[in-house]
Amino acid sequence: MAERLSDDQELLRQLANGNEDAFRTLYERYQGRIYRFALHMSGNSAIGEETTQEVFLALMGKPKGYDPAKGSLAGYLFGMARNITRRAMQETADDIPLDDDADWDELAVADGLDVLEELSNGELLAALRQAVLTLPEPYREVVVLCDLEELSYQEAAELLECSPGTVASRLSRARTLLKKKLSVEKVREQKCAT
Amino acid sequence: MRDIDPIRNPSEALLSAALNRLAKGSARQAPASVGAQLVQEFRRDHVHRRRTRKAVIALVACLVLATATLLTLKLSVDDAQPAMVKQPLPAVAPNASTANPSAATQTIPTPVQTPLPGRRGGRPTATSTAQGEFMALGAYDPAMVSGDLQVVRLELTGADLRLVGAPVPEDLADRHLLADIVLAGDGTPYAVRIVR
Repeated sequence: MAERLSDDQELLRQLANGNEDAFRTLYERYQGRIYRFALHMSGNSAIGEETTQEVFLALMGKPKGYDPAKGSLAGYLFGMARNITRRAMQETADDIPLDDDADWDELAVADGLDVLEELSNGELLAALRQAVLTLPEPYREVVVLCDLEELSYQEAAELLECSPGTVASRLSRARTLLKKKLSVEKVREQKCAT
Repeated sequence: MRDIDPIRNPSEALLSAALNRLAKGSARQAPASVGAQLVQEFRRDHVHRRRTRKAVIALVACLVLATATLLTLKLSVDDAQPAMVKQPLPAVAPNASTANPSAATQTIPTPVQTPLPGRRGGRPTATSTAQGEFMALGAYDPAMVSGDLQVVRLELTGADLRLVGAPVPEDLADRHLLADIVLAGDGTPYAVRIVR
């Protein structure tokens, strides 16, 4: 197609008229971010795929459902992705329960240790992946968006419909929780080794 | 992303680096099969939508055609029935507005029971929509009127009346309205008056 498909609204208009190129362009533009978001949020590639599929099916079925006055198309798609991921996780009961408070009592001991340095690269990544999945959802979202997807606070705030300050404070809290979880993991490993 | 000083905060820097590695180690794209399925679905969906749209257009066209045909037939049948309630067309006095045929401002007066003269000089109003007054339809041309005209009282739906050009509001399209229609000798409707 010779016509230049530039902005999202024009693409959506053409999508509504049955233009396959417009759909492909929108898909290529957003599928990666949506898939990774769902994947990191759930830790499950099937949920990532399902979410990506459902988001674009919804867009295809109702392209006029997006209101530019309410925000960006990315925000609209992420909003759908959040809901679909959450629902899929509830349905599959893959949402890993949060650690109980007893675990956190060990943190007083572990907190001062810089155990991150002691973990090998592979161990660290595996433990980190697990730790991210056990974060409460609001914290997990900001870690996924800001640390894994490398969005700015402003961008994440728009997607999450909160203020950049909220994103920053949640991220700070999330990082603290991550470090503590990794420390607890290390302490457990050490206990198991002895 | 925050800038973290690795000297002042080594664990933060390590965590950031680890998160970065985790991000880079994850799949960057959804599997190609997802995209392919979606494109297929898109094609299927739009073929279905196009078919539905075409079917709806065809249905509407058929309905309009059927309504127009029925209306024409009904008018022809009514015209042929001698038992039909017929009133002579009210007499219309010649008017000065004939000097300006395009002005179309004269109203046919309230009917009087007198036979219609062969030719009329004036043109009934196209602006009056009030009940009790005749309103000229598009087919009415004072220059072409010849022979006797007849007034036929019919009960038609608002939609049918709109089809012949009567000024019936759209919300009355489904309502049955009693109307007097001025017909030429060949059945052409020249004017209409909503009775009830």
